[in-house]
Amino acid sequence: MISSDVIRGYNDTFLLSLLSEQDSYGYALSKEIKERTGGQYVIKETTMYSAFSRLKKNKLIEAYAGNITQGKKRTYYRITEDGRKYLEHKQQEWTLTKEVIDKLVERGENK
Amino acid sequence: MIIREYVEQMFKSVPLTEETYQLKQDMLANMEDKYEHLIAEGATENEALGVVITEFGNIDELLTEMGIRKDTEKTVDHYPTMESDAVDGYIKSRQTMGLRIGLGVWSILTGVGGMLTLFGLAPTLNMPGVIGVIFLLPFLIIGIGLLIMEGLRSRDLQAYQSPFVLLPDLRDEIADRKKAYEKSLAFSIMMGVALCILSFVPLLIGLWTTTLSVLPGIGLMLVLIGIGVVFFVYGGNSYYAFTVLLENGKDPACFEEAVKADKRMKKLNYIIDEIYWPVIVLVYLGLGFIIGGNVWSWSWILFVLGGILEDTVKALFESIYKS
Repeated sequence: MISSDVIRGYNDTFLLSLLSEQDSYGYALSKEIKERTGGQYVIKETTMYSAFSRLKKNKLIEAYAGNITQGKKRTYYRITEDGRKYLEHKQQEWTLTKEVIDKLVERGENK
Repeated sequence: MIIREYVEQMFKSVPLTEETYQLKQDMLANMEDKYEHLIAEGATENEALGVVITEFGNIDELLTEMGIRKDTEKTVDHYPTMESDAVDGYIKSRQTMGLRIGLGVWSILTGVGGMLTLFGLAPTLNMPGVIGVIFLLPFLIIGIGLLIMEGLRSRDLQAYQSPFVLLPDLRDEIADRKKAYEKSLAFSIMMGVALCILSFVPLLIGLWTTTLSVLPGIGLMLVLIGIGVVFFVYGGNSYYAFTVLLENGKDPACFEEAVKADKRMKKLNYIIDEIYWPVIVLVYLGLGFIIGGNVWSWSWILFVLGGILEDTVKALFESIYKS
């Protein structure tokens, strides 16, 4: 499992990215993150809700009460227009970051 | 369930607001979903619990991010949250209680009414006094038994007499149900009043005709009034249930202030609930047996007044207590 220090700055982007596909709620999002990374990254509950709180404050996502499923009333989140713009910006930033880090941190073979 | 306890523990020092309440509910739901999923995948309960708790994270991180400061003085966790099951249960209990108190009063009135009727049949009966009292006893025992039983039961409902958390959605639902109940309440009151008016018929027949003598007239009157009281008390108690829920169920958003506001009044309602009806019964029986005679023909009004004035008396006591 990956160290959460390294990945901390990207939690908001993970959630935005998943929400850009469809509206969702807490457990579904954390499950999706776990499954897509094959269990290599697990987002903690408090980390996820810190991110929700931040994203809401910056108006990048909105919360709304979902229907009751399995006896539980869940809070759903949807991405806003600002959220989509921010996500796009973050995606470009990541492409660049990846190139830079690849060049500097890459191991052996290409040298 | 352990997960719920864990989350409660984590949130113990978090001030209760609508935001933090929802947060707690959401996190709890996530953790329960995760737990069930792990169990479904074949994890043991301990393994699943371990994973869920490790993946909870650090509550301080979250609180800092949300700009929430912890409470040092703890008030919040002493107050329960009432969810819709509990609320339904309370309303049902209140209705049962109203019905039984009503039947208790009816039973006492019927006992007394029957006794008077038997007294009235004196010329045709041997020892009408003894037979009358023998008739009275079982009804009196059942009636007083019911009143005491329901008095004790009101203790189980104590949790609803002090402030509890009621979410806005559920509050709206209760307010709607209360409004919908107004029709039934009006019907109960109408029936009660109608029966009380009707009860004068046997009395008048007893007084002014020879078909019935006075005492059986009064006896039948009491039985009819008893039925009327059942309507008053049942309707009143059912309606009162909604009032209690709306009064003591506080919005988590402004819970603290609300709690302070009515902390002092907490006990009062109880005292009234537990002594009010028994005192009325005592006064009724006392008046009848000590003064005797034609007191029976009007003292029943105590029960009717008792039913009608229950809320007013409470409000009165509250305002005295407040000042």
